[in-house]
Amino acid sequence: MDLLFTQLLNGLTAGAEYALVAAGLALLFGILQIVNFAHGEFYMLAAFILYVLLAVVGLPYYAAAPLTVLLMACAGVLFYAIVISRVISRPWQIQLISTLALSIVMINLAIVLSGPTPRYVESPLNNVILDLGSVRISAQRVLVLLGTIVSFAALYLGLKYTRTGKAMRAVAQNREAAAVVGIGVPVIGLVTTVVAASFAGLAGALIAPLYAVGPTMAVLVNIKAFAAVIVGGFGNVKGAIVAAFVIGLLEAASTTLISTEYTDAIVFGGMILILLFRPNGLFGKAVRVG
Amino acid sequence: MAVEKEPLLELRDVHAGYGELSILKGVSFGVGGGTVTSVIGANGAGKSTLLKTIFGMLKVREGDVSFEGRSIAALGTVKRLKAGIAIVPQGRCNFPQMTIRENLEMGAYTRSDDGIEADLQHMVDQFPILREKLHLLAGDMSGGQQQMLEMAMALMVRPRVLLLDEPSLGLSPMMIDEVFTSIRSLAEVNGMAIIMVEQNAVQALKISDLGVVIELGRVSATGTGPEMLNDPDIRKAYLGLPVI
Repeated sequence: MDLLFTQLLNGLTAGAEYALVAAGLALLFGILQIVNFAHGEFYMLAAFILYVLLAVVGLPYYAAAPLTVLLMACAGVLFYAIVISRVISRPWQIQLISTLALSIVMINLAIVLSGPTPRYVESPLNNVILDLGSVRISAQRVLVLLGTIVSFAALYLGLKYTRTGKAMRAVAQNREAAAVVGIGVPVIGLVTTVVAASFAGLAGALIAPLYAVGPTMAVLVNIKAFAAVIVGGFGNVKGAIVAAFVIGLLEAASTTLISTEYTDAIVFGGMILILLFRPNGLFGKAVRVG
Repeated sequence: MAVEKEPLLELRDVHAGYGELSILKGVSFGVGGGTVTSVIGANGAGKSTLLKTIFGMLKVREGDVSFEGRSIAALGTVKRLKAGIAIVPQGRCNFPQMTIRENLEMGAYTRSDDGIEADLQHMVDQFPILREKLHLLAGDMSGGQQQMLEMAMALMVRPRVLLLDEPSLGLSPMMIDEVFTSIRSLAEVNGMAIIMVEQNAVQALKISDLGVVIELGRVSATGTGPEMLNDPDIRKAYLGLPVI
């Protein structure tokens, strides 16, 4: 029972990691129809920013974590100006190649700058252990789960009720109609990119203290986030978040019940199974072609 | 029919196009408030391009477009919307996953005054079908109802000039009558200038004060609705009617 509860927490933590990355991917695809292969690398960049702020600059975690999210929002502005704004109205092949190129450049820059040795990020909450009867959980994990829940609630409310959120949904549903009612589509593109990058920033700020930080730390996370986006119904943010947690929990369950060696095979096998029966994903709607 | 002396919207020698392709090659005409104008012409003559140029989705390359006596050629679409020019383009132009109410609110996106709710109520009075479905998703309505919604969305900016691209496309004959009746009454009651592009040229001209024929990017003929309907050349070339 205790093992099960511990694994459930592990699954939720992994799910939160995938969900924070997947939410940004789903936003970029759902609203701007851009597949961002570099999105996982934003998570890696955020983890490195947190590392630098803590280990080099010497800020305390409580200041470094929010600053990481803020700096990632700024990185989102740069990403929009340098990449997205230039490819947003170009064919999908150009979009795909440019984000893939950025991903490769970012990974290799990280290797050049930091070397391949993993680094560890210290958070004071790692050492605070909460005792829940027979189960012990680090406060950092609680922060990950709380931060994820709060940020997704904020995203949901923002998209549903704010003027900009409604405009983002409008652009996602019909870009021409959005322009016709006077929504500045480039502004919405910028806002979407900044929000997506900030979520990757939050992933780095919350989760980096739990795992090793290195240039390729996000490669597998990115693939799992993509799996969540696809299973959730491409471009459906809610679906991607739910699917990300399902993947995290499935991983934890297969690690506990079967073996760590088969974890990825089970997760991706599950994804293939779901797509066989629901080709548009769990929450996707059938798209009429032609 | 009372037509203002000074045209509300005036095009003078307007040139526009896409990339290197020049579509409009010198279009001039003016429309007054409270009038309906039908633009007719063959496919590819530049009718939709004309509406997009008036709305600002395409740049005026030469010539000028003026609204209420002032040039608007340099303004973008948002400023033109705020000035009072709205468009309902061809094809579905609403937000299918939003409710009718949300769609109408999005129609007023460029407004920040507190009269939006009152206008929304006014709109559902004018289009009763929308009132019944205010909380349903736009994508779940029939094509004709969505057309009504899109017109109501455009009206949410309280336009003085309303541009309609094929408002009757894909509608049943009964629905077409209803749409045309609404268009006529919008012009008369609200004093708007309505410019529409319509394949259904005969029916469109019947409710129009002015007909403009576009041929290869230029105006080849203008006249009142009845004049157009009785012109032998136009009957033969554009209306598919026997020459009287």
